[in-house]
Amino acid sequence: MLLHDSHDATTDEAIMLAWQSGDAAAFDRLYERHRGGVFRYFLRQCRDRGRAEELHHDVWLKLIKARDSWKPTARFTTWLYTVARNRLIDYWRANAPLRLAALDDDAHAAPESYDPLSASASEQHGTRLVAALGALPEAQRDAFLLHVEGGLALADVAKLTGTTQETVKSRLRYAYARLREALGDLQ
Amino acid sequence: MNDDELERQWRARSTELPSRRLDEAIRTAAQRAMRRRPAWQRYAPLAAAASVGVIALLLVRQTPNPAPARDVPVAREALESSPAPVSAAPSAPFAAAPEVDAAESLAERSRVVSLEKEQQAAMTAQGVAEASAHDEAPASAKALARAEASAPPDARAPAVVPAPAVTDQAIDGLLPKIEALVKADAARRTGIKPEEATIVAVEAVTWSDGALGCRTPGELAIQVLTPGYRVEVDAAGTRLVYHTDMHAQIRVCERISVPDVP
Repeated sequence: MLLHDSHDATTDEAIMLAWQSGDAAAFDRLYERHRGGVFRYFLRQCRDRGRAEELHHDVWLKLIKARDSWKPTARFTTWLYTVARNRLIDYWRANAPLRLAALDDDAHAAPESYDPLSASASEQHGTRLVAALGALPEAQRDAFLLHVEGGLALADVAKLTGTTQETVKSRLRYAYARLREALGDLQ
Repeated sequence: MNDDELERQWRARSTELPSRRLDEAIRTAAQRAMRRRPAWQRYAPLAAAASVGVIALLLVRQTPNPAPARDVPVAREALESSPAPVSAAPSAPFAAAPEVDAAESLAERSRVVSLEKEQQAAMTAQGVAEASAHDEAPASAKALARAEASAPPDARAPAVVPAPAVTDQAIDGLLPKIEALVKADAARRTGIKPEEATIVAVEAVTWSDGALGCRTPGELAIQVLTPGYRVEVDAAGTRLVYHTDMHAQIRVCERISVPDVP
């Protein structure tokens, strides 16, 4: 089933189709739109710029290879972040097997301690937010990043992560609460 | 602070981007991919050349060899030509299908069937011994068996398999055009008139090659299942076995001389 809005020249799907049909500039438009979101998704998950760049590079190369075979049967962003998330899981599988199951485990705490309460009062909002996000369980952080950085709707996050929309809502509610808590005295 | 405000604050502060060098590498990879032709385009010339080669090979295999000296093409002109010596060698296939008067062929076929029925009835009434005393005895299963037993061995002719009896259904199954061609060829080879040739047996057969199971030494034939008939014709005491396809190709593959009964 094709997306109904794929004829709109401004949608990701239309740009991807234009690129498929030989418009070289279309890729630049697409990359410009999503380079930040995809990169930060990896950066927040890995907390290492070098690794984030490596994974970011892999995902875009995969997209380039899939140029001819891609079909607008789903939203482009859902497809893009599915590729990104799978690449992240592969990375964890190869480098930190114990973290693999954590993506679907709400109760699993982050392996590194990012206690927002331990941050000094002089820290800026951004630092506190990043630290608080890092302290979230993997599944909540994953849902938050897909929704906020990737711009995916709740239904798309649920589909991508293989859970229900209610579960995604619950994970986001908890994530927002923790982030608010981290900004408590700065609000 | 509600969720929207929190998201706004997050977006305002989460602004890291990949390095310019990485961006350039990815954009370059995309441009390179645009210049690279799809796999099917890259291999299209090779595939086309291979296809031409295969087609050429098939054509060569299907084209019959120049006919050997003993092979006599069976053509429309042969219907009116003078009698030729009888040859047991396989004949070359037809180049084109000659047209045959359908009405004439139908009448001929009916006449053959009637004649066969009368002959069989006469054989039954007078007994086999009496029937075998006649020099002009028609082809019957018994006479054919006796001929097979007494015929001199022919190294080139395959073993003679008793042909099934002619039935109305079998005769009706034979295409008139093929029937006319077979009779004309048999008449030409034995020096009789086409209407004097009698179809003794017809059997639907699927041949294993384009030469109708009747290749001459050194002849190439395409290996393809070819439906057709095995037609046995009696021409003045000489049995000729033809292999045909469903169109206009006939080949005489066996000759059986039926000796006169004293």
